[in-house]
Amino acid sequence: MGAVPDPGFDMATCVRRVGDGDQDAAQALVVHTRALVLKLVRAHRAATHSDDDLLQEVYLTMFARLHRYEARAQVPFEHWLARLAVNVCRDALRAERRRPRLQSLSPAAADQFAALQDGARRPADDAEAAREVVDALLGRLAPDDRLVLTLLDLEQRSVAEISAMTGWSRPLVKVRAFRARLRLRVLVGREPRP
Amino acid sequence: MNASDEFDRRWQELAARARRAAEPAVVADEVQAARLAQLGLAVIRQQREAARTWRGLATAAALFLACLLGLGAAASLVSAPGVPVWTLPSTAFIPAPPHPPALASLTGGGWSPARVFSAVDAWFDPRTRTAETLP
Repeated sequence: MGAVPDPGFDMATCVRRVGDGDQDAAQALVVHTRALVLKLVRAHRAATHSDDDLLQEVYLTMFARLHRYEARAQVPFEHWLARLAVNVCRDALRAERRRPRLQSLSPAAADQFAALQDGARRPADDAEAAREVVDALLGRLAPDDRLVLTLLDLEQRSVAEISAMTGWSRPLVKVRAFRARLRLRVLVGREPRP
Repeated sequence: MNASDEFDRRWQELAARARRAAEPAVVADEVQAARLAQLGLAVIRQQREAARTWRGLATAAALFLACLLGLGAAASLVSAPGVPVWTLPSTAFIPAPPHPPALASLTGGGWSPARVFSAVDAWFDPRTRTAETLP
C-alpha cells in the first residue's frame, strides 16, 4: 500500500506497545508509516489545510482509534491506516469551499491546459507545467472525484487497492472514476481557452 | 474515437507527464514524529480516563438502580395483604406494674425505704408477673 517495507519492523508488537503507552513505540510507528500517510495527504491536494495539519489530524485519529484495530488484527495495519487517512482527509476537505482558479496558471501550464482543451495542439514535454495543470484541475473537483482520479491516474493504483483504501466497492470506484472524468471534461470545456 | 475518448486520452497523457514531475521528498522528521507520538499517547490516556469515568458512573447508576429496585420489591412484598410491615419488638422483659395491694401497702401502711425497696423488688420479680403484661 505504498509503505516502505521494513522486514525488521514488527508492526503487531509495536501497536501493542503503543497501546501500553510506550512512547518509543509510538514514535517508531509514526516514523514507519509517515511516508504512506504523507503521500495520501498530498494526494488530496488540500487548499486550506496544510499537509502538516492533515498529517497531525490523521495521526491523532489513528491513536484514538488504535484499540479498534487491535480488535480485528487480521487486517494489515497499513491498509487500516490508509483507509483511516483517506477518510480523515475526505472529511477535512468536505468543508473546503475555496477552489484555485485556472486563470492564474503559469504560461507553460496554460499551454498544457490549452492542449488538453484542444487535441490539435501539441503540448511541450514539461512535467512541472503538467503537474501544475493537474493540481489546479483536481483542486477544482469535489474531494471524492479528486481522490479517485489522483489514486487512479496519478498514483496508478489498482481498483482493488482503491477499494481497500476507501471502503468503496470496486464497481463504485469505477463509476466514480468515470463520473469524475466526466466532470473534469465539463470543467475543462467550460473554462475559457487561454 | 468519440470526443469523450479523445479527452480521456489527452487527460491520461497530461497525467503521465505530471507523474514525471518530482514529488516533494518525504523528509524523515524525528521531531515531528516525537511530537505526534506524544500527542497520540496523550489522546490514548485521555480516552482511558474518560472510559474509566464512564465505567464508574455506570456502576454507580447500576447500583443505585439495583437498590431502588430492591427497595421497591421489598416494599411491594411487605405491603402484601396479611404480611405485617414489621413485627413489634418483644416487651416480655418489661415487668408488670405493682399490684394494687402492694401499692396500697406502700402508701397506706406507712412509708419506709425498706418497703419501697421490697415493692420495687417485687415489681422486677418475674414470679409476680400477671396477665397484664403486654404481649
